[in-house]
Amino acid sequence: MDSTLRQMLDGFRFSLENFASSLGTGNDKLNRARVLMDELYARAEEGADIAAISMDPAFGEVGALIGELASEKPPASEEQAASAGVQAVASGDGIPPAGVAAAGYHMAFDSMDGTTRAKYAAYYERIFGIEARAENAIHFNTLLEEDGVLLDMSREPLIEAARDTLGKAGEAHSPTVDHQQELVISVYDRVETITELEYEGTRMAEFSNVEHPWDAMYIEVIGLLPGCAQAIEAFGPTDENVAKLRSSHRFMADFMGITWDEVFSDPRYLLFWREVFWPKVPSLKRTAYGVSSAEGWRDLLRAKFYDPYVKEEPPVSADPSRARVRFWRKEFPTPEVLGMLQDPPRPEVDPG
Amino acid sequence: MIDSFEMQKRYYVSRLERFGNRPELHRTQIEDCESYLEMLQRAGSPGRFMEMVRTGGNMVSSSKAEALDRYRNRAAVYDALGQERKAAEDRQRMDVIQSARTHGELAEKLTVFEESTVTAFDENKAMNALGSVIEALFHLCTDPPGSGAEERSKAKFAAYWVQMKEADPDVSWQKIMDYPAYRDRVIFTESQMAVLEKKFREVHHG
Repeated sequence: MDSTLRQMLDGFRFSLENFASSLGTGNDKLNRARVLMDELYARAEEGADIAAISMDPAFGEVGALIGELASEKPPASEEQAASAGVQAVASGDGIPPAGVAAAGYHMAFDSMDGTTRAKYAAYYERIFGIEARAENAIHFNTLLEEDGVLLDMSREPLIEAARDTLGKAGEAHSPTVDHQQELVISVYDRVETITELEYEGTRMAEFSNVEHPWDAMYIEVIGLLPGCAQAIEAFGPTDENVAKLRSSHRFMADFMGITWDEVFSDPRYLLFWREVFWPKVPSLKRTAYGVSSAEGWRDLLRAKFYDPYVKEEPPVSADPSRARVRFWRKEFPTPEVLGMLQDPPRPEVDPG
Repeated sequence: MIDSFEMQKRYYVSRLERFGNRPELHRTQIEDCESYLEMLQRAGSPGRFMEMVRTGGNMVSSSKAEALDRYRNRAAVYDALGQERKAAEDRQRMDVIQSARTHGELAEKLTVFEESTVTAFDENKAMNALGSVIEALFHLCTDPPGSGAEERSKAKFAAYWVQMKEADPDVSWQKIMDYPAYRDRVIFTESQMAVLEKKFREVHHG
């Protein structure tokens, strides 16, 4: 029998003997579980490996019985006292060896596929090193707690994933994605417990889940005018496209005090225009129009697909007092949007 | 040779030290650790302590404490966001955890709860539909009357409004304005929302 399998079975047997100390020797479920454990030991000695034992119906039944035994009420006090005495004699100070406490970690590590195992090997080596140093289960649990390896095993892959996402998010040029991943890296680096890790993870993700669609709506709204011009460039000056452009030209000035010039002086929209929109303009079109920059495409749209269709319209003008948006329960001028998304004024959370 | 009694004490003291750096996040776990430290003192030896632990529920209180802290902290995040239904669901989860007496019961009751609850799912569904509802109304302000664009915007509004209604039967324009979980996702100021409300009344007929 290999050592990992033995540790696993020893762990189960130790649990059963623990129940014996409180439930007594006359418990039918306990006796049934003991019989099944003997069968599993016998099969393991005959050469069954950990996978075969895990698939054995007896293994499943023992697991279920251990769960049920945890809910069993102890018998009358005399029997309990007697069985506790037996247990005390049987196991000395009653403290199991470190291997029993570590058995679950061996089982988890051995059941991992190659990729996962390689990813987590360093953490499990730390755990098994602690097991080797520990004199018993209490010592093992204390050293494990003080080492912090379980916290590292949870947070370090998350930090790594955030760095990876941040690298890949470069092309999206999304201030909300960048902010979220940068925050994850710095906040996870300083958490000290799993509870704190979970809390901070939820807090950052849930706030980001509001800011991300907010930003998408902002781009949709602030980009209405170039969007209309772009539709004419792409699909032609149909009555519908021209009517939509003229209507939008008037509406955006009236609704938000925004004209073409304000759109192209908005830092958030410029980031989108230069880094997201312009790179997607097909090279055939760039060549056809002789345009080689985001600014060139902006000027082309205005000269050929915007101004000619609004020149007969009554003049519109910018109004900064109306060029405002609501973000996290306060109003801000639209030119501040990019800065706000990079350092959002989020509401406080009060876990107390 | 280690002193197992001192070692057991060190385990709980170490946990308390970490929890103490942010006590507001670990309230129940701190109480739980302190109760085990007291039990350890009463037991006088690690063997007797382990026996007391076994007969006292095999540390189900620690599993419950960890879960209670987790969901109380998460409910606080939802409270800050005004996501009342998600916060309420976590508080129901806490009631379920409180009611469990054994590890088996804890796992079983939580499984039953997770399989039956839809409150948080519905809140997310309604919030996700809201963006499309508002964007459709915004475009309807400039879509030429009778155009294909107007037809598409109306269809988009109708489809996402149905989704919102399914997920939140109480949803109304007033609720979008008053409920922070909805209002915080919309970029428009109060005066801009007044313009969109007119469009909403036109397409929603009321």
